[in-house]
Amino acid sequence: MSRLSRARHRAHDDDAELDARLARAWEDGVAAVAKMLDLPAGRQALLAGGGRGTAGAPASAAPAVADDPVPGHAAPAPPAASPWPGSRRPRQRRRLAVRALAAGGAVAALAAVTVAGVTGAFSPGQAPPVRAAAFITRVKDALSPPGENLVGYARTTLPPGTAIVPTVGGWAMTERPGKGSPLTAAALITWTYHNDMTASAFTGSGRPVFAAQVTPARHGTTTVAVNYTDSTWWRAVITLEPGFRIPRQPPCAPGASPGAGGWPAFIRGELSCGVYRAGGRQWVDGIDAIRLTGSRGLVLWISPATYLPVRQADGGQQTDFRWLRATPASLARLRVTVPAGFRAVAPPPLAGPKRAGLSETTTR
Amino acid sequence: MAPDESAPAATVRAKLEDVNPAEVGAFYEREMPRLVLFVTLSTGLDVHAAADVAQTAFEKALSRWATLHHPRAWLYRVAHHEAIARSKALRREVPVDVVPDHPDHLSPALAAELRAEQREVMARLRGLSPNQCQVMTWTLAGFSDAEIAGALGISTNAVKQRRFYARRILAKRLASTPEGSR
Repeated sequence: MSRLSRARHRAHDDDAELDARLARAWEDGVAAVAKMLDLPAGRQALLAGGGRGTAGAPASAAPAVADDPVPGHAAPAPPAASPWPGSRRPRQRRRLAVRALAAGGAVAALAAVTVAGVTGAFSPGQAPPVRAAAFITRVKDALSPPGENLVGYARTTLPPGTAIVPTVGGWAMTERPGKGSPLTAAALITWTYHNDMTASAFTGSGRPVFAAQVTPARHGTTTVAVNYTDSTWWRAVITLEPGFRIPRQPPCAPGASPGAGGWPAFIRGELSCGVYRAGGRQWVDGIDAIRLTGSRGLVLWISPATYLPVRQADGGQQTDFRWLRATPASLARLRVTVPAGFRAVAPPPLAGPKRAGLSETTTR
Repeated sequence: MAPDESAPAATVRAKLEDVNPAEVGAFYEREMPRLVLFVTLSTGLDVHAAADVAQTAFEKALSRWATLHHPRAWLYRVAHHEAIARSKALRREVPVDVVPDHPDHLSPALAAELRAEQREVMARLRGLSPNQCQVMTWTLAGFSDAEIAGALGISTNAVKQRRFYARRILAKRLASTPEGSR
């Protein structure tokens, strides 16, 4: 064999070897990507709403929570500064917004009534097409059981000058209370587990303002609130009369707020509106988070590992999330203890208009 | 090959009635991972962004499925353009108080799933010039020279030339890390 033909033969072998390596790498890459994707969920989302020019809720397939949803969410820590220092989205200012805790139906009903009365009509607008269907499906799955078996921690940074008071089944917030309000708070911390929720408000210096625990039961909801500003506490039980139907707070309404189910249910509802779009990646609290931008100024960052929310920003408010395993220690954060020496007082009247089917029992 | 982009919505809706969900679903499950890898390799987007791009391309394809003569080629073209637009948008994103993520040559998540040897090949592919990388990715996805030329807006000779040089570079770089040595 001549030198030239040997060289050609060797070149041909090299080409074949390169082709084989490239082909193997491609097929292995395809297999690796297939393992990373939730193909049945994506397929269902595509056939349910995609390509038809309507938003619709991407269909949620079987829950696909990542193997270990807790890393990256384990240690609640103070959030970083607001991503939009000094900037506020123009919006209809709410004089009073009642944020219902994750209590039972009575609380949700009251919250729905009150928020509707304050912010206007519940008219979900024309939702744009879902363009982040794959992500949104995963976020919704992560927020569904067994995702909700995690204990959720949320810290909301409130706009300066926000006053907040505990109410039966929730809390009431006033953004312009006037100077010298004793209940001005800078941060609100909530712990949620299924429908149980505890909320605590703090001043900018870390002094507690109030703590409230809301525990739903089959036919009612119990609220225990401790007011640290005047060293008082109260307990109220709302019971549902037989046949009372709970009006659901419609998602996507202007000014909609967490209702029954807390933040996970609220975010799930917002995602169902199809208002979020994928907007790249950003580092949030050490997590290379996926950014979803909503049409009403909402921005949601989710963990690419767990698809659980890391942060939500809404105008001047910013909420940071952590997700913990349900352990005795984390579940203990859902209990409010009345300090010794605090004086029991009557609870405030029900927020919003009185509704038939609800009755309030006050106990101490 | 390109569909009628200005088809009236009513016509598109009417043609959707003819879509066979099982057929589309099977096509989706077969092509989705390939399309995601294709987008990742050809544009440098990470797997999560590539998955979103691919899903968007599928949604667009579904709305005009009945009018597509070559849905696979159409899908890859749309995904390619969408990914380039997404990459440009990502670069335009104004940093706030957090540092935006600049995707690595190979998505960290994908890199974790791959064996070292395949990771090396993928990284070498991403290390090619953008033009060469595009041609190689389209070739690996199984498209002909004519289809690649049509999608990239270049001549078939240019496709062959870019592939020739890309293969030469790859062969040289991969020769320093023979198969099974890592």
